Amino acid sequence: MAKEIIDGQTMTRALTRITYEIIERNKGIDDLVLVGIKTRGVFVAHRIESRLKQLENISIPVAELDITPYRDDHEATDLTTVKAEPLDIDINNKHVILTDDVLYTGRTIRAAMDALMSVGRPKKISLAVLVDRGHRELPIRADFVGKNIPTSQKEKIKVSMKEIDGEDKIEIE
Amino acid sequence: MKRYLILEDGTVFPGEGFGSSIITTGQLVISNNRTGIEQSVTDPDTEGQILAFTIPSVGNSGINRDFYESINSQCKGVVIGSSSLSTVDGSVSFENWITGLKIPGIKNVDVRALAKHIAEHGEMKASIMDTHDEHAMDQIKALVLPPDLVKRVSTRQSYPNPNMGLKIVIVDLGLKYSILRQLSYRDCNSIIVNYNSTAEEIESLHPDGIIYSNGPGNPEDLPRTIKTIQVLQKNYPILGIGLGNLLIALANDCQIIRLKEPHHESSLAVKEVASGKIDFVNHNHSYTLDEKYIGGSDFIVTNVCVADGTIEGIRHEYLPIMCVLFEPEAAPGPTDGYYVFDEFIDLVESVKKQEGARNQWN
Amino acid sequence: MELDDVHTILIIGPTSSDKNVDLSTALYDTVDILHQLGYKTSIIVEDPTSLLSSGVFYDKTIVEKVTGDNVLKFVQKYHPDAILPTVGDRNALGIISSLNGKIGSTKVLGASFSASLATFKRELFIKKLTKANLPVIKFISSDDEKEIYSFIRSIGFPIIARRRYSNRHSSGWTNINNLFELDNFMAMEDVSDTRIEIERSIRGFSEYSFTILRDRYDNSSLVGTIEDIEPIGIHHLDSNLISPAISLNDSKLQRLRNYSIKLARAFNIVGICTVHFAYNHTTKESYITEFIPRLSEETKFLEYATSYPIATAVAELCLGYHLDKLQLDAGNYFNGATEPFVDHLTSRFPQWKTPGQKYLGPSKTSDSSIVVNGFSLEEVLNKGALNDKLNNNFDRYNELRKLDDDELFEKIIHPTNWLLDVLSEALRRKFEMPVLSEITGVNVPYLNALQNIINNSLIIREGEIDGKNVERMVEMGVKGVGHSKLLLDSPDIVTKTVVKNKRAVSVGNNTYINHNYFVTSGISNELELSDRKKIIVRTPIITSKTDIMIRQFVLFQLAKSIDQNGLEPIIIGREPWNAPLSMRRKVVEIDDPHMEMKSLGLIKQDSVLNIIDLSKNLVDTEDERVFQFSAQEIKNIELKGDTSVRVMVVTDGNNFLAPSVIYRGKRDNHLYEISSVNNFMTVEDRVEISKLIKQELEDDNKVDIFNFEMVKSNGHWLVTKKYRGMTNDIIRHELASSVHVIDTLVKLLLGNKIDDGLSLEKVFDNFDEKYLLTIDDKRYKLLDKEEIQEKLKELRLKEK
Repeated sequence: MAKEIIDGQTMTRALTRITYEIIERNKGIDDLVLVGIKTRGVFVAHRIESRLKQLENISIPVAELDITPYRDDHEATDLTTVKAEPLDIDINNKHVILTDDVLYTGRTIRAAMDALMSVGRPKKISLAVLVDRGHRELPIRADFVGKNIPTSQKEKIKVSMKEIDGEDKIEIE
Repeated sequence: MKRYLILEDGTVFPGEGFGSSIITTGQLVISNNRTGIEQSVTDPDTEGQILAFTIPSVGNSGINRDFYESINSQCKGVVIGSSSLSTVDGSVSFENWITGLKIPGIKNVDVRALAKHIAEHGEMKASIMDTHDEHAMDQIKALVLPPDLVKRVSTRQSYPNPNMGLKIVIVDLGLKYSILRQLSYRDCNSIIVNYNSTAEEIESLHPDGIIYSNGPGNPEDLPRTIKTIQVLQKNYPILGIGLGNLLIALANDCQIIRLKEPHHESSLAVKEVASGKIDFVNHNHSYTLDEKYIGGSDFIVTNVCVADGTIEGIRHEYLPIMCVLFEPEAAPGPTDGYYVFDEFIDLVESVKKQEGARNQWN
Repeated sequence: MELDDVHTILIIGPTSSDKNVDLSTALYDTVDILHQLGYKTSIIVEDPTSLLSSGVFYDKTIVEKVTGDNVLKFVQKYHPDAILPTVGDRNALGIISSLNGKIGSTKVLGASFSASLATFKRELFIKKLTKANLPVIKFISSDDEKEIYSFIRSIGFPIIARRRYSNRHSSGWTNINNLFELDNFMAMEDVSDTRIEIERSIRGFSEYSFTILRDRYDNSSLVGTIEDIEPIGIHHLDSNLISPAISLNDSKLQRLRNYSIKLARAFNIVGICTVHFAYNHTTKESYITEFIPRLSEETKFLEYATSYPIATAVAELCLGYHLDKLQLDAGNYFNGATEPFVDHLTSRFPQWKTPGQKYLGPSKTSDSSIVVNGFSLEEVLNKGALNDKLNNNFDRYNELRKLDDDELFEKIIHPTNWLLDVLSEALRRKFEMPVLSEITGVNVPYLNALQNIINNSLIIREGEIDGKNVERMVEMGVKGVGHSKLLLDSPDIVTKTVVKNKRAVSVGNNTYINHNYFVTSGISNELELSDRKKIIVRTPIITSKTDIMIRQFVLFQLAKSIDQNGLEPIIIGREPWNAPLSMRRKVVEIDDPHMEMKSLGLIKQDSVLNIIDLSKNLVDTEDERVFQFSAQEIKNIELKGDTSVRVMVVTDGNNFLAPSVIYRGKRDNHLYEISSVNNFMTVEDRVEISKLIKQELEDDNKVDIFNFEMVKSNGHWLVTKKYRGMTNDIIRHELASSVHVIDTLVKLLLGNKIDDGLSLEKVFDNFDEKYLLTIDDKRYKLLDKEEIQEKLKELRLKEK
């Protein structure tokens, strides 16, 4: 049975805190670009973007990244034949903050970085995630974490977000 | 016995005396707190004040000994409209309690007219007296309120509130116990120090974070505390609450202003700027930050009062400093603001982690 | 920001049952704001007179039984984007819970399916609350002894228990306080197939209700709290209510507030939710007993007590507006994110139509209620529940005095609607307060307030009145001393009878303006009037539901018309009038339970043009300016006929207008009434009826309203009834023509004249486009011109 471990309020607070940390660790947020990993990472990016706008009155560009073609854990995909979808923003010399809902093995993030590198040359890439659940298989670390949740590999983490699921919560099953 | 509440502008409000029969004088504050008379009367913020409660039927709910915000009562007098002589839970009645505390009180006052008068003419001094002749008027006009309110309420000696968690030093400007309750709930290992402690004294305690507490009076009367903040803020995560917030702002070249409509109400809406989330929290302040100076500073506004747009919270853009002007510990009031303590703990922990990471890698 | 995919809304209207509370103002405010914000609304309603308006707000008005089937039919035919059940009382939630899965993409606003269902299904309610970790009374229904005993062990005594039989009937609840009583209950012989139901007993707990507003973005505010003077076990609406709840200390208040918000979140209720609690001040136990995710009697009371525009806010919240960005009308923003601060008490006490004592229990028996304000408990009790003018408390006192102690004790044990009088008598006989509190569940501070009142009436009786006592009595709202010369002449500053605004002084508390005042005590008056000339409307106490509807309608139209004619309407009554929001900003409303306004001299006599009095019996008949609005019978001839008309006439003393005629025909054992038949009357009828009216009005030369009943006998009309003033028919006449009559009356009172020599068409002129057909006084149909002509033809053919 699914058990709610993070409610809507806590999720909202976590996103706000990530936003504060982004401001704190970047003197000037002018060169920031948010890139959300589809699907829920995009909503995470948009929520951070709207918070930055409320606080600093600056609009940060947000792009969506579909990394399904890059996943090396995806079977039967010939990586060489897949061309990255061109991002609709320029990331050259920008500080890109990749956003996703859950950080797990790190393979998704690696694929996302591959995709980013294939379309431009960012100055820096950081990573913001709502949940870090451990079990990394690659040397990847998130710069901004909403919540660290220790899990066993058998457990599943399910993130729901209002935009697509009707409500905000994180469940474990 | 018939007594009178006399304001410094000469306005007289008749009522019936209870509690101590001494003549008392202080800064008159109108409190719209819904509940928690016990908390207000023992709140060090109310040092030197005559508190006028505008709720009806004061005392029905009883007096709860668990609600004290300091060991002793702090205010100089209480003004109420109607009251009840008995309580719903059989606890001591409001009037007996006030009598026990040796505070003068006056009841059956037209508190609506009083609140309206203060709203129109601003906060002022007042006195509870037996007559309202010219002599009484002269007395109150001649009165000067003492400027050393914080000195009177701040702890003289440091004391611990031990636990096993983060080490937090609290600079006591008139600390409410509910702040300690919130920290205890979060396992914080706190040490409470005098408001005039030097930066070295505080650093020698090796804190993970520092809290500048709420307190009474005008922050401009505390130049030494402001200097200390300027030193400490470079090295430690800081949370400022109420007066603490004002001092931190002054330490960073911001200015403060007196509110036209002072906030003394246990439930007023505050909006978190980033997310638009609305929380109802206790407000007890007559000053706020001047918006003009925030723009040029390194602070961003994090919270505003929904009713009048007053700044209620700021955060430093680069340093781990967060401040709220409202009272996140409630006591009394809705508990919506407790998250501020969680945020501060998160802030302290993330600073610790970064330092840890830096230490590893350097 | 708002729900962008909602443009058309179906409102589930109220049923016309007498048991329903009157939500007409809330309904009016709801559709008014939806209309202004550009939504298209339709409504299903049984009795269109409950709409208070002539339908300008509605796209479609469906007059049908308000049932799930009819709502479903509408949805399938018109596909509204959303259904709004907040103004349809309990019935609307029942309908919503039956629609689950049947209405396709049509949204339900406010309460969800599961919330609606949980207000009916106890098992679901308990399950949902338990899951959300909310305190709910544990309940078991089982035929397994082991299970039953294990349950009892887990909850402890006291409990209540009953047997539920296979035919779905059940025994009454039995109170069980100890093992002995439990053994007795369990030892009773079982009919086969009986289940035993047991729950924790909360008899005697204090009852509270918390109402919260919640927007789609999970922002919630506590808009008001109410406490019952009587304990759990006596229906909430039969109890004396006090708002705000004054007996909860900070931690209790915050705990119940947090529970309420959590409950609304658990059911994802957007809009409004009232949560009822049982609280035991000795053990500090609290339970949620029910929740109401819609507008209700509680929200109506709170809207008055707090001055917060609840109905308007709820409509907007349901549509996705942010709590802090609501609108009073299109474009006029206000901060809804407030937990309104009130510095006085508002009390609602129930009223029964018939005199005599009524036993109180879990089912509601009262017929209506009266609301009063004051700054102390003593004051609201003296003005309300102990106000002799409203409840004949002096008679009660005399009757109770005759009882011996045992008989009185009997009355304490079995509470009636005289409970406060009984308790006062018990206190006079020095029964002990804690004992009385323990037995009745009435908390000690209330008993203390009663004692205070007794002590002070003793002073009156024993003639020990001096300035100080009078002052104290004024504070306590004791009648008759309010404007004592003693106080007015005092050289000292003293507390005397004054008028205060309903609004407390609080940060930013001025975004929703209204001019509600109440007569109370203090040292300064707050009544602020404009320079405009005034018309005062005086309203009596009203107890039946039909009369409440009439009062709502008449006051609204009068106030509107007075305002539109450039004057200031002042409404003075023993009880407040909760005006629709749009009117609240224009009308000065004064609650004056002891009728003291006149002697306070706060309204300059020469600024008052007229006084319209709605009461049945007039006090000041010598004042030329007083116009008695309600009907006095002038003629009543016993003559029955199968065909009759009722004519509403307004005259300037010279000429008259008759804008509404109701045709009434008894055919085949059914009674048909058609409104506004003016437009279809034959020339002969017009000539004859106007001639009759002229005869009847021959001796009258003043502005007035008349109502006639004329029976058709042998092909001619005969006047059988004549009333000066307005009868209850006013809401039966089609709304538009009633509005017309009221507006004309105001104009005539101001000195305007009806033109001489008007044609008969003009005299009977009527602008209605929809016609109301009433069958047997209880079924309604709204017909258009062709349909009504058809019906009329049919009825006329059968005229004898």
